[in-house]
Formats: sequence, C-alpha cells, structure tokens
Amino acid sequence: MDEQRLIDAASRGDLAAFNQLVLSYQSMAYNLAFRILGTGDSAQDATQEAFIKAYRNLGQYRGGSFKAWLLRIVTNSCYDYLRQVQRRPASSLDDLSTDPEYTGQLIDPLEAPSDYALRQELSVLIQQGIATLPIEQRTVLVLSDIEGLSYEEIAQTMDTSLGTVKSRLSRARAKLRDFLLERQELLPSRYRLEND
Amino acid sequence: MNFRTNDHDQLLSASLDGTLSSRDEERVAALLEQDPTARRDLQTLTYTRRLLAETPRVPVPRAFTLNESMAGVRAPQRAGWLAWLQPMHLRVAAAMMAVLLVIFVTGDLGTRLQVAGDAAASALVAPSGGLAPDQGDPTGILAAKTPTTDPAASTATTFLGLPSATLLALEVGLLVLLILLLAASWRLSRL
Repeated sequence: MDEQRLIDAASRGDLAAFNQLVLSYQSMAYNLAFRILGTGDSAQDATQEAFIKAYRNLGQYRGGSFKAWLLRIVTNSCYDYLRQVQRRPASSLDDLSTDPEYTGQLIDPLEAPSDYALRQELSVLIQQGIATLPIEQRTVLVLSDIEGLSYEEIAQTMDTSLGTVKSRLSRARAKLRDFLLERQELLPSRYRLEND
Repeated sequence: MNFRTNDHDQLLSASLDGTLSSRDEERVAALLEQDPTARRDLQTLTYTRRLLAETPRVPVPRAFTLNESMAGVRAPQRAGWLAWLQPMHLRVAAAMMAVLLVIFVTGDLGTRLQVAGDAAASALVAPSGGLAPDQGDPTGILAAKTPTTDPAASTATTFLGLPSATLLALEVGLLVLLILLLAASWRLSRL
C-alpha cells in the first residue's frame, strides 16, 4: 500500500496502517532524536512520544511532505524533552551528556572489527561535536548532513524560512569544522584532514 | 588572521550543496581564486560534511509501533444502568423468551389439533340425514357432540383459554423480542 493510502487509512483510525508508517520512518525519527538528545533512553522516549502525538494529530496533517510533518513532531518532542530536563534538578542534566556506551549500538555484523572500531571513534567525536551546537543548529545539521533532507524539507520541518535554514546550517558546519580541526589527533588517521 | 564572515561561510556552505544561483556561484569562484583562506575553508567544510555522511546510523533498539492503549483507543464507556449490562444477561433473557415461545407455539398447536380431532369425531357421530336437534334427541348425546359457533365455547377450546388473535399476537411478539435480544447481545459483545 502506498504512503498516501496508509495516511488516509490511519486518519480514519486504522492503527495497523499507522503502524506501517511507523515502521517506515522509525529509523529516521530515532536517529534524529538520538543526535539531538545524545542518549538512547531519551531518544526512545522522544521518538515514542512523537509517534503517539502524530497518530492523535493526523487530522491536522494537510498534505505535503509527510516526512517533514512527522520529523517536525519528532523535533518538537525533543525540544519538549530538553525543556523538561532543564526544569529538573541538576543531576538530570547529566542524563543528556553524550552516552559513552551509545556506540555499542552501532554494531554492524558485516563490518570488520577494525573498521568498526574506527567508526566508533569517529561517531563518538562527531556526537560530542554536535552536542556543543545550539539546539536549532544541531537540528538543521542532522536533518541536512545525516538525514539528507533538502532545504525546503528542513524549512517545513522546523517551520522556518529557507534563509534561516541556510544561515543555521552554515554556522553549524563551521562550528563543527572548528571542533573537529581542534581534535584531529583524536580522530583515526583515516578520518584526519590531509594538509596541502 | 581569521576574516571569515557569516556571509562568507553561508556562500561556501550553500555552494557545497549546489543551491547557489549562477551569480553567487561566480562570486564564490572569484573568492576561491583570490583567497587561499576561502579555499581552505571550502576544503574543511567539505571534509566536515564527508565525516557527517560517514557517521554510522544508530540501529533502532525496538519497534515504535503503537498499541491501542498508546493510541488512546478505548472501548466506549456505557453509562448509568447500561454499565452493568453484560451480553450474558441478554442471552439469558433471550433463552427465556425462546422457552416461552416454544411453550406457546406447541400449546397453541396442540390445542388446535385436539379441537380439530374432536370436530372430526363429532362428524362421525352425527352422520348426514340424522335427527336435527330440533327434531328430537332423547339421549342428548347429539347436542353435546355438535360443534358450536358460540364465542365463549371457542375460547374455552384454545390454549390457556386465550382468544386466537391474542395468542398469535403473543407468539409474534415473543419472536420479535427474541430476535432483538440476540441482536443486542451480539452488539454489546463487540463494544
């Protein structure tokens, strides 16, 4: 069944049809939440909350990119999660630091152990760099350079203008570049920038 | 000295994505031609974007599909006296209706058959050409066996002494009630 039919059926209360959509988008939604929030537990909570909100608010979907509409809900769920954490005692803030064990989830059975170890190191550093960015820049960067959304889709997802998307993305890339250049020695040699 | 500006970075970033107008592409080309720092910036931005693209995706730890409870789908709540009503109650009532219906139908049919049998016997006792009642019946037997058209006598020979029309209405009513109870029980069990 194509996406529009699933959306129509889900709008009429067909939970099985909605769950088909969940299975199609859960990887993208979870990865976005994970990159914004930095830990597996918080990303799971935000992703699940986003899908529940999406089901209950399907009547408000007015066509266009369903992916952008859904990722907007995921993004808002992440922001809500961050606001809740900020209201909690300081100890809870530790929960949102980059999870040192999160790379344990990146196991690909087809990957050689040495390659896996290198990618682990890269992932840790990238995630640390993303975590230093302001939340809007973090979101734009993940949507563009990890999830591969177009400027227009990002603008829809974040309910902002194309100009703002371009501006935030260029700042995010520049900051992450500076972060990575300052830590070249921490990167595996394969991922280091070659000097001219 | 770092003389990068936001405009500078934004131009280079958009150039990476291939979203610049031809006029802005010319500006970037001129900038790269003249400024080694700009060339270095473009190189490092390209490098950063490549690293991001190579960042492995995080496997989904579990399915995020919704169950009815999460989706907020609940069985409609019945209020007031309907709240205690269970399909079993309606099925018991339907069974009672069915028993009553069988009693009435079999009783009615039995009575009708008995009356018909009696009428046939009377016909045998009083053959055609016999004495008419007003012609004299010294034993009185003939008068007792002769079918009568008296309404009171007809009522006495129907089931429970009820008029035929009332019996028919009762049977139809019981049948309708039985169907309604079964339908209500089925509907209630699906809520």
